[in-house]
Amino acid sequence: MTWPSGSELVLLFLLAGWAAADTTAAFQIMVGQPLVMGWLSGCVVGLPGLGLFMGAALQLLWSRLAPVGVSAYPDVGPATVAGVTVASTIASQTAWAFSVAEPFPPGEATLACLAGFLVALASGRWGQTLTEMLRRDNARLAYAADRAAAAGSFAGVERENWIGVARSFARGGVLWVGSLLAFSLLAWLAGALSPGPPAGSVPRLTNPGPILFWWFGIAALCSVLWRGGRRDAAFTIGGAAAGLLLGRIL
Amino acid sequence: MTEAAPPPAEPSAWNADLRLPAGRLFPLLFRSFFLQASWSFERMQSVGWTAALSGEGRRVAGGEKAAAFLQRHLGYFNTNPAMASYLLGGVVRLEEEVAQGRATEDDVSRLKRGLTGALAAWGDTFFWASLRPFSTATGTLVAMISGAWGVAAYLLAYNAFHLYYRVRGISEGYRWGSKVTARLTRTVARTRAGTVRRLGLAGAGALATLSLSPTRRALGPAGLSIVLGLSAVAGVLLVRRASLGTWWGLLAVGGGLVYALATGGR
Repeated sequence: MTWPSGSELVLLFLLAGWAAADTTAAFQIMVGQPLVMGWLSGCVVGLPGLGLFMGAALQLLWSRLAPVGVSAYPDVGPATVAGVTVASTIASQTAWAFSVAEPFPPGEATLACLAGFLVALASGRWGQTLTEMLRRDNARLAYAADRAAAAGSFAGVERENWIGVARSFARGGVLWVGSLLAFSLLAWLAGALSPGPPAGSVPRLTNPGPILFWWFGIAALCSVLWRGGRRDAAFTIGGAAAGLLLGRIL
Repeated sequence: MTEAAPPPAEPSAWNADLRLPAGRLFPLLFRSFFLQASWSFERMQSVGWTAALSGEGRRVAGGEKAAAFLQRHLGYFNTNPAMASYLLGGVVRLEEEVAQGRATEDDVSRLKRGLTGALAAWGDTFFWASLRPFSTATGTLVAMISGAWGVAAYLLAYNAFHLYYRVRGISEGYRWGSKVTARLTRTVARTRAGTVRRLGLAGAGALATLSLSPTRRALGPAGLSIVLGLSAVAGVLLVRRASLGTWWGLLAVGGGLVYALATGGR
């Protein structure tokens, strides 16, 4: 296992915080979504191709989940950053890049991906619990805003809202750190800290795990978009035909 | 003989000449991005909503009126954050009229009560159930074809609409005032959500066919059949229960790890 450097870890922590804040608290311009965060985290650890694949697969799988009203949803952004960080500790170097010709990770990157997905899924679920706890506790901000309002203080109300942004940012950071600590502990318990095989000695494999994950993601995307009827079928078949054509051209 | 008191003035309706100057529009827009910053189960977006309005509040309800203004807006509030811009513009206009004595505080409350539910329903249907899945399909497809450009495509596909509605909503809401509902029924979010969703389906179809050959190369025809069969089952079950997504992901990871163990840690 090769951990990212200190400066990379700081950047990843900041990315996790940014992702958590973007989910609801600040801007919501979707930079906190797995596709974006996967790629950004991959760039930080020097594996943009792996990060992009993991981000795209997680984005597809979680495409049904949205931060609507009181709905509980996995904290997908920081979870993706945690997943890519863990994957980078296993496959610190891979020449593979996500593409039409070779969309699924080969060799060493396969196990890295699986470990990253596992951490991301578990971390997302833990993030859901953290989000609910934070939202329950945010009632205190509302009470403080009430007091500021009674005093006629616009600045007081604004301050409580900024505290809300900071708390969301901190939530992402805590989730990321907690996920890495949990993974390190499990890896240590499993004896995964022992040196692995020398780089390049692992043959190219066709582990079905990442492929299945990808296809379940496509199924999840279809499930959110599909309402049934002729027009839906026509668009889907049209897209599929365009995909076949595109595959031949590329 | 005493003269009868004149009837109270109606809140004014659409006025094409009424524009929010950039010096007021952009601060309001910036603050609107933090609508959900202190979201709580008890009061939802109320603190964020009041904080978004506080810049304009200082202008129209400063001094002694501040406490009443803030308390009026700190009640329970929840809607779609992007579509909330229409309400934000409309409320700013009405609050100006309240300060001028041309509208009452009840008019403001009535507009908020009447619009939050409708905006939430339209916004969630468009942004979460149509636009974001469409952007996911587009971004993933472009990422597969040309790498990191997929990230740009994803952000562009979503934010072209998102930022448009944020900016347009405030200025239209301000121009239409209490009659902003009439304007909303003609927006793309209201009328074209189905088209955007179907374009997303086309993208998902293309993504599936582009993934067919690599899957067949990696797993063989039998493996491809199993993967497609399992994905079909996953798709049908996910329609019924969205939260199962994580479990299907865990199933794939578990399958991969078992395979790796069976083949000597590969």
